[in-house]
Amino acid sequence: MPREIALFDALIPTLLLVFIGCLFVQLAIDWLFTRLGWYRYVWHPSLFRIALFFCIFGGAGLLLHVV
Amino acid sequence: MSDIASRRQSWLHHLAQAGVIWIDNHGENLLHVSKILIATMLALGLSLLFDLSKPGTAMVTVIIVLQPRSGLVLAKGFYRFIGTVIGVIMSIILAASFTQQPVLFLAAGACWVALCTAGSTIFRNFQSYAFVLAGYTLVIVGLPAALQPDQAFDIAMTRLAEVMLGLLCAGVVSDVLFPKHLSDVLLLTVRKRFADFKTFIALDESSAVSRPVRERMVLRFIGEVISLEALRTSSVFESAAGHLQSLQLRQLNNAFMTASTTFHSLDQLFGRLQASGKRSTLNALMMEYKAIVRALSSQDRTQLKQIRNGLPQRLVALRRALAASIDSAASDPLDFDSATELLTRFADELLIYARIHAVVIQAEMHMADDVQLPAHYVARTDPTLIFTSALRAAIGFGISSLFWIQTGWVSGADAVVMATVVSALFAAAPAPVKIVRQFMIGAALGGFFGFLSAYYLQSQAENFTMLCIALAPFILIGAWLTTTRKYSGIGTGILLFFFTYASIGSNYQFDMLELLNGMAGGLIGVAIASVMYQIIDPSDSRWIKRRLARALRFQVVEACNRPLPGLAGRFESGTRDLLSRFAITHSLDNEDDRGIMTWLLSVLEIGRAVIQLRQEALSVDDPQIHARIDDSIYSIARLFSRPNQTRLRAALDSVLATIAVCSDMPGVLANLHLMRGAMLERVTVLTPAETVSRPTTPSTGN
Repeated sequence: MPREIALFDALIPTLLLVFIGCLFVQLAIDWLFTRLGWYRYVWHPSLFRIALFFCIFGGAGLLLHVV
Repeated sequence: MSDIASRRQSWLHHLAQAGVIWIDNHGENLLHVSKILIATMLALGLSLLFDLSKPGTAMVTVIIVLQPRSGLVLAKGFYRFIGTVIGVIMSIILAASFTQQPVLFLAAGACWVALCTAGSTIFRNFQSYAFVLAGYTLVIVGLPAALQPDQAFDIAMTRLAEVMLGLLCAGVVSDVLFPKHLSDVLLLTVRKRFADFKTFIALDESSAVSRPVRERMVLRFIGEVISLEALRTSSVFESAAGHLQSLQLRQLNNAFMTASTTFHSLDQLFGRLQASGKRSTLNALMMEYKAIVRALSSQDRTQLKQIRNGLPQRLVALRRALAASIDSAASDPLDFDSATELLTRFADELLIYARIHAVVIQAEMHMADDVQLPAHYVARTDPTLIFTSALRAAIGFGISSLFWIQTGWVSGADAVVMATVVSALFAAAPAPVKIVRQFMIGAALGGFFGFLSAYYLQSQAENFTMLCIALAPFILIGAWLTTTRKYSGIGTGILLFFFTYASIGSNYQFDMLELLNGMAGGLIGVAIASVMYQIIDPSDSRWIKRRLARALRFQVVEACNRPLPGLAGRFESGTRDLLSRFAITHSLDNEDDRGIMTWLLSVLEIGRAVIQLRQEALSVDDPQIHARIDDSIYSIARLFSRPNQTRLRAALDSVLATIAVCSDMPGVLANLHLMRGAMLERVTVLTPAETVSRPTTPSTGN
């Protein structure tokens, strides 16, 4: 993958796009968890959410690095 | 020996106790301050790691965004992000359009700043803040971008990245480290308000409580409606369930407003009965009223419903008994009938309020089906206020940039930035002059702290930890001041100026001349803004009070003219919102304030009666009676659009004529009677307000 992508002639880091994509994934998971009421079983919901986001973003970022 | 030991024991004991008390009182502030410190250090570290040119921006963002409750932080962060993005885009457009024409650029900038400031006074809470940011980002990004057009895009992107970094740090720290959730505060507020309202309407020692105290209570309830609405809009961000809760809260707020207005009408009616000596009617009504209030306080939730269901029969019986009693000549059946109508309505509204309250408190996901409330909340702002704040921002920006152009001073840009930031930042504050004065003191202190840190401490710092230590004490002082109510303006000033001028960066450099120039420029900017606030300060003049009374009057006119659907909610929230700014800054100590308060009360009473009357009139079939009712509504609209003696008389006559026609419609009759009573009582307020104030009009145009 290229490190930067040209968007309207402005070079934007691919990682930023990945970040935004991960945000959407996170939102979807968040919505699902709230709907199912799973956050009741989590000790610290916000910490869990942050950690989850780190995992998603880290995974995606590493994948980008490998590819 | 043992004496000394025991004395030491008791000393230790005292000390421990004092410590516990101190932690109890200040624990939350302590947590907040340490969160500020951690978040700023995190922002600093990450900015240095990513090699961003101005770590100060990220740190300032943290300071501005970080608040004791995590929902507020997320909400403010969201709006700060939106505001910054819009401001950055606008800056790039303006800088690209007017690269060669500085004057045109500044003129367009003034227009943009004015527009955004106007927006910030129209909207409430953090939406208002987004407008503020969109406005002043123009000077932070646009000015340097216009000075170095080839760097414009980079400057914009750096600003955006720094702000985002700051937001992320603030959000993560506040949400992960011992989060204080907004929803808890919300529930607490709701619970407390319910309890307060119950004691307020119980009227136990109300005869002993003086009028001003009660009016202050009404003002407090108004303030709470507004603050709950503010908290509600922010709590949406806290969790995914926030949206559902938010809808319920809106309905709760609406139910509360409706019930409290009806209570007020009832209270007025009781007062009128007492004043006119109709004791027997009053006592009969009071009995039923007390039963309702007692049922509300009882644990058994079905009790209120039972009382409500039995109410009509008992009232009919009471009316019969009253008519048969000895002093029936003295008691007017009309009084009793309208009170009956009000009592029934009040019981219904209390039922709904208690129901929604229970749903909110127990955090049920679904509202009961029989509770369907249209929940409109409208914010109202006096157009003059919008106009003056826009004008102030534009003039502040104009004067400071004129100063910059004329002097050709490098740090003139600092003056422009600070003048714009300050005149936008506090425009929506209830008493901006006071805060700005504090801010100025804080700014001078912050600049001095910046010098201390940069000159004496940072020069010794060899690594990141030492840099943190060099900055921490000043951050702590500023942050602690922001948590106190009295000196929060000073704290903000200190932090803002400290981060701007402490020359924090990846490699240490200190330029005394630059620091002094920048400081002087910044202070001049704040001074310009401060003077502008003093010259154009509409919040505390007699003139603005008269404007407020006018706006309140037009609420009634609107209640007469606007289409009915959703009108009740609009009316209630709009009237309260108009008064909220007033309620924050005034304590009803002088005659003027009391006058406004009386205005509010009559507006609430009459406006509500008009709306109810219009709703009742929908079911009236007889066209002649319908025409009568329309006529009296029209005459009231006329009276309130410009009150004078003849219009008042016309309105009273018209209402009286309508009362004579609709003798067999209790619902219509009750509202008409209420309106008449309120108008008669407010005769002194309705008309002399105009006749007395007219001569002073030319002199109070400031």
